[in-house]
Amino acid sequence: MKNASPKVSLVTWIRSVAVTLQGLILGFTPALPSPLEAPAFAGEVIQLALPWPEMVKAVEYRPQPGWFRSKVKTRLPTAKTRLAAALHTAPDARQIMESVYRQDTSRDATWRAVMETTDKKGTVRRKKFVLRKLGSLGNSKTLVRFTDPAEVRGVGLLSYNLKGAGDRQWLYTPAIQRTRRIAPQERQRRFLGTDFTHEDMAERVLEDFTYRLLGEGDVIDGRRTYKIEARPISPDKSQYKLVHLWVPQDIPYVVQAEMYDQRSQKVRLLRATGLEKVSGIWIARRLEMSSLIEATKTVLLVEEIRFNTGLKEELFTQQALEKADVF
Amino acid sequence: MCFRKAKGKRQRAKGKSEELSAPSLFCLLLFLLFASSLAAAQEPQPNTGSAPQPEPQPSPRWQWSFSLRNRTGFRLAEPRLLQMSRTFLDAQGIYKINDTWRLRLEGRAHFDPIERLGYPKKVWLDPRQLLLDGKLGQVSVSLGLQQVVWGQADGLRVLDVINPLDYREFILEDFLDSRRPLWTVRAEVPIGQGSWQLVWVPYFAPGRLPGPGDEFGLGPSFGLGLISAASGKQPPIPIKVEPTRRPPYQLKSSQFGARYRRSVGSWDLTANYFYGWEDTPTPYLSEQQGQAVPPAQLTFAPRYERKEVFGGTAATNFGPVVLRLEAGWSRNKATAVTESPPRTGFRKFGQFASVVGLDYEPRSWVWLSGQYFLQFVSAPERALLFPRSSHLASLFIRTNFFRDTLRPELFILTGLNERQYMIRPRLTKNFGDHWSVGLGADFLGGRSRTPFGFFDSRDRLVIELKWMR
Repeated sequence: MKNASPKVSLVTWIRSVAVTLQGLILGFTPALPSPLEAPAFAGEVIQLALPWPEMVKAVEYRPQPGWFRSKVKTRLPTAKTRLAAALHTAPDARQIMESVYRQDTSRDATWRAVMETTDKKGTVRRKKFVLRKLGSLGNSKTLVRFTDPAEVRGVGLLSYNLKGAGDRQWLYTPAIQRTRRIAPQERQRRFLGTDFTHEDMAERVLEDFTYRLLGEGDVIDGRRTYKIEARPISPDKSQYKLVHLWVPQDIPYVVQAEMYDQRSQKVRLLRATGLEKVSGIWIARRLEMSSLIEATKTVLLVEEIRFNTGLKEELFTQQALEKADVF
Repeated sequence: MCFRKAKGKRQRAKGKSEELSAPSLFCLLLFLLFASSLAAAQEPQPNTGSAPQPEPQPSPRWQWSFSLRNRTGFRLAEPRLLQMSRTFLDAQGIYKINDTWRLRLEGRAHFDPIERLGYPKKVWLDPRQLLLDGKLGQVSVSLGLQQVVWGQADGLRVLDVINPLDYREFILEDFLDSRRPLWTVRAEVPIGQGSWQLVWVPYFAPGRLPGPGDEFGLGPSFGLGLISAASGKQPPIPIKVEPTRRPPYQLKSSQFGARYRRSVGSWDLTANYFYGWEDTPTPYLSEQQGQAVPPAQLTFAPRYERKEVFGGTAATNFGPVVLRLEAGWSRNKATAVTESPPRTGFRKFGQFASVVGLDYEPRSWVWLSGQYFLQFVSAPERALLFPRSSHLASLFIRTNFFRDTLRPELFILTGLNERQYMIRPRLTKNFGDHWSVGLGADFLGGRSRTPFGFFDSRDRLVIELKWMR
């Protein structure tokens, strides 16, 4: 199995869209080579979904036909044993979180979702979008296209987060029919007027945080959870002083997160519900981010999600960004 | 043949919008529609992998958008009056032929009962887009009525030279609205790390000009008023204007452009070339007016000239600051000259134009953009009627409050070597997802021989009400 790289996941803003948000807060590195860097292996990724917590997704690629099966047979018991031991005997916060993120082994993903933003007066505004992502965590290209309401229809945001090339973003606005280069946003800014900040949406580096298991957490939606504390290793790594995370003991997914600012004041609350497995990957159909001080919230409803559909590189170019229609 | 018929019709419909023969291009569109279906049938299906996938939601074949707008302008200088009350009904439909091909239709119905800007005195139907868009192999193809936008500059055009403009509202209308769409063949060809965009416009189409008596009219032809003001040769010298000469409807009048785009490191670069037509006629003096000084009569013989533009753009970001660069060189651009005795009044020189822009977002609710424009003519100052160089600076401040539902903006453009300015504050408020109200003003001023100074008395207040769905 390929070793995890230092960059971890979480997604570009987009990435966060779901599986993720939680992820962001923690991030990990994918175990797969990105199709961006190893296109020859695309399509050769195989994953085995085993019951959690015994599970581990054994993800392999095979440079030679026939190599994979024998490799899995010989390595899987080892992985199972290691993780099971970690969880049943002395759960390790970092290993739990790593498993959370490692469970997303997708090479590409397509999301259709709705963002509902509720202000203090209870007024709800909805934005629909389609998000496409190609590549692995820490080495990905993402294109978000808004489809509704009419005011933002066709607006597109193309983000590159490529190893060695830094972050780059372009914004296409149909109202001027032009693509603009934009600067990566500061992490504490709200994303498009929602309760998600750019940090919540961006990719993180696993090593930027330390993790501590606080013990058994609450029972959330009928599931017993572990409560984990994540602290940035330095203030420049996160806008938050610390984040508390709840991970079900039977599902590798963050179902709740509390974010604390530098004054240790709880500023945001994230709740993920409607968990289900799509193509062997756990996702949440509903993510609710509440800004506790402003008394506002944003709900992200995932209408459709598809993994590994064979998205092509050409969908993640400035030319593609300028094709404003998405169905 | 269809083309010749269309030519005849267009010549009869003088002053009306000239569009290329729709039937001939429509045949081409139908053919490509058919070809695209075949191409799609041969495309390999996406790899869905062995893992189970949820059934994708069926996508609608049609996607429709509508908007209804009214822009009403009140002139602030005497005589204070209603300058316009333009109502637009826009409908846009996108038909999904298959995963790679789309048919886009967009039309506009427009009506301005005030009749001070020079728009038709009845409901005016303006096709804005009729486009077949898709891929043939690796090549992206767009065929039909469309706009092609190049460049990085805001507010002024350097390389955004393909589509002619509608000048009936000067340059105060959004370029997306004032650009005149053209029947165009556009192809995007990926090559190596970059891509070529090839553009062919098989005909000539002029910009839409206001009449001499309209609110933003300059005279019998665009530029004539400025020349008169600059030369001091105002009436009583009698002026006669001959009919504007325009290129024939022949293949040799077609326009062509190419743009190469690629990223190098963190830089986005383009190299551009366009061989087309100026969208406004050059008001040449007729040479048959005699040698007397001053002449007994000035006779203008305006005609459209070819333009040839080379240029490039670059953009990158340094941390939170985005740098934009754009430069263009126009070969043989007709430039007003001082001559005694006057001959044609114009000679052709090279002209350089460039923009340097910096964008910065210091807070989540404010975005700042500053630009510096430089333009100069490759001719000695003494030979030119207007200053050899022009320096302008602009500042654009855009803010948003209450989750992007209240957006105050301010755009300022000012001359650095000659007094001229344009100041445009604007406040937009959204009500729900479909309604918005905008309140803005346009202040123009400066020396009368500058474009903005010429319209010094046209300051106005503009209210815009918009519904979108």
